[in-house]
Amino acid sequence: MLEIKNLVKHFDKVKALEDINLTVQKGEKIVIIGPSGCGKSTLLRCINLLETPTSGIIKYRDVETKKYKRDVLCQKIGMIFQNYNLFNHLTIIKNITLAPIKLKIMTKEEAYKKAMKMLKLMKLEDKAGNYPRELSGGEKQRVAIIRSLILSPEIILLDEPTGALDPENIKDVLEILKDIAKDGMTMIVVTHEMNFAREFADRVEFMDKGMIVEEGTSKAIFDHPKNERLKEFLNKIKS
Amino acid sequence: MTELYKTLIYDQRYLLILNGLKNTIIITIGALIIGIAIGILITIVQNNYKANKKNKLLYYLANLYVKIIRGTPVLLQLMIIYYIIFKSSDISIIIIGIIAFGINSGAYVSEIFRTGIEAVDKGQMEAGRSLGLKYRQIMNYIILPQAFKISLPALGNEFVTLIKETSVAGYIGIIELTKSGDIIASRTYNYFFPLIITALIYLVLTLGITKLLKKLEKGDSNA
Ligand SMILES: Nc1ncnc2c1ncn2[C@@H]1O[C@H](COP(=O)(O)OP(=O)(O)O)[C@@H](O)[C@H]1O
Ligand SMILES: [Mg+2]
Repeated sequence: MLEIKNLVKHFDKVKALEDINLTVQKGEKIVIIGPSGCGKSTLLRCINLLETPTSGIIKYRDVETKKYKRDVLCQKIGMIFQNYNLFNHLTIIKNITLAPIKLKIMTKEEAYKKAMKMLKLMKLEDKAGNYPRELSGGEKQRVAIIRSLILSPEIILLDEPTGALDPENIKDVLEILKDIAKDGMTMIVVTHEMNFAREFADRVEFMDKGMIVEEGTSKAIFDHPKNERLKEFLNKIKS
Repeated sequence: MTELYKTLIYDQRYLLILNGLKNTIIITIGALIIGIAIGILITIVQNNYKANKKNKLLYYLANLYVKIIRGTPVLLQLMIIYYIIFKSSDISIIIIGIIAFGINSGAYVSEIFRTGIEAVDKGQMEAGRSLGLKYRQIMNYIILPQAFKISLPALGNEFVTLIKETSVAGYIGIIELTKSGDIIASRTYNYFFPLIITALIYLVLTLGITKLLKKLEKGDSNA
């Protein structure tokens, strides 16, 4: 489904990504862990065309992502941000329906109907007319998830989706991610929630200094880490 | 008391002041409308270039215009437009004033819009892009509405600034508020009342508008 080969991304002198290789199968749940600044966000942003790689190849369904039209690719690969990035000047319902309407995927009626249905599933239907600033962090992130899901993506990239939330809200959002995963969605999640990572991941990628230095099942990564820096990282997170 | 009478009532001089006030308001509002139109145009040119590197010449011309206007005194701009550009035309002097101050204001308004656009959180653009929206759609539906709202207080300031700046229009013979005060003073041989009264009128205008804009802003953010 997704194939990344020799991906390199430099920002002037900063070597954010050095030779990343990663293949993701349909329905796989990948969790990326690693210290801050190691390039996790940059990796997701390269997949989503928010950054242009310095070199390397990213293929989605056997075609290079840069060959796709942005709107086509971004419908297929959704992205969730740590700070939600809801459109501040639009109500919740408009946040969700803007893209499907403007991309002419749905009529206005269809989009509203589908959005309301999804809001109901997440118990947010009474917030449809509110503005983002009137919602809690957890509610905002749930809206951001709906906004992405309404385009029926095949892959969702999540960059520390609970990074800005308090414990109560973290639990809610993680539960929703598990629900989405049950439906067979392909997901790549950057997170610092290690318990969630262990339970959720089919495969865990440990990144350090722009490289994937160890990968494996949750069991292998968390119970039998080999790399010294991974051991160090896990110890630090536990304490 | 007789001085005040001579300033305002005698020879219906209050009419002169009212006429000056009228011209000041006409020029200010006209100039602001032109200024906003030019400001939007410049912003479009600048953003088009930044987004897809097209129309480089237009981009440089736009930047040159902003630099020239911001780097020279408004009175000089007014004089150049009146004495050189419209030298032998019979266009009404008020219209020339509106055009001159409009061209001046356009540069400042474009800076206001640019700052407003830059003040929109860059996550908004990224969220739009990650949803597959096109640059123009993101601009029109996400960035510009927020940027405009951010720009409103500064636009209000520009309005107030313009009211005061049009006071130099008397220099090319436009009888606006300051000039009418000056004319009365030269007839009564007394500067105190005419100048203080015109100053008070400016003050009422600018303070009133500032207050009105504050109210509008508050009402807006509650919506
Ligand atoms: N737009 C940018 N310009 C310059 N440097 C950047 C930019 N984005 C990220 N970096 C740098 O790239 C490295 C990786 O950043 P990032 O991918 O955000 O790390 P992580 O998400 O793992 O914390 C960091 O050193 C960061 O400072
Ligand atoms: Mg990050």
